[in-house]
Amino acid sequence: MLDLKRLQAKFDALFEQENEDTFADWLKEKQMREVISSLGDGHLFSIKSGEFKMISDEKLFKTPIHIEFNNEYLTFPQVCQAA
Amino acid sequence: MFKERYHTQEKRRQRLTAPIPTERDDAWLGSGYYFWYDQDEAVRWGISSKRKYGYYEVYKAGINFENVLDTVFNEDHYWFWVKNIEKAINNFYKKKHGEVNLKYINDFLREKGVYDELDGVQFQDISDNPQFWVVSKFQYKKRIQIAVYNKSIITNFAFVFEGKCI
Repeated sequence: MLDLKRLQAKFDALFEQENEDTFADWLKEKQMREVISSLGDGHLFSIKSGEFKMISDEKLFKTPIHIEFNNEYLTFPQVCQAA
Repeated sequence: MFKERYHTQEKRRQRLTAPIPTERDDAWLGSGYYFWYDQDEAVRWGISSKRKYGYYEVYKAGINFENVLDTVFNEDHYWFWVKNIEKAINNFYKKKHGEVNLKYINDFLREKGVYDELDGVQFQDISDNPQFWVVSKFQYKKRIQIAVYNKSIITNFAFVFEGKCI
């Protein structure tokens, strides 16, 4: 049986630790991870910077997206555009 | 506490032996295994959104609801959900309201470990399909889904039928 008190304690701890800024940072990284994984090369990249809002398929294919990332196996320039 | 639910996918070369998790941006409850409460909704979803190969398939499975947050039929769970989602919205994206969808709120909660002890969430919204209105905008029937986060609560996954995407 689901223990709502225990679950509430987890929510409360999260609300204490996280705020709008930490959520925004997480969201930016999450969306970048999704873009990288959608490229399908199987490598894991550490994202350094980038400009993303919500990413839709339409945006992904019609709008150039500027990504800067850092990867030791990288053989092409470290700044690239995906479109 | 097992309940039967329906899972819709595109028809593939081989029948599925397990459900496929969704990663859609508009997935209500984030990444997870999605099942419909109602077989009619499973069919409608197949026709409208699983059109890739021209046919969809509907599967069924038994879901163990022991550690599921049931925001549809359990009043305590419903208010628990409303209170915490509203707090999450106010705490995390008040300024960006409208820019971030529910998927990311739920993914955030999961990645931060809040959902570790939660096997899934059952949720409903209002269908905007006029075919389901008795009179204009009166949606008499709930549109219910469950997002399962813990695959081990899914049992007896089996093919039920296929249909053509009209």
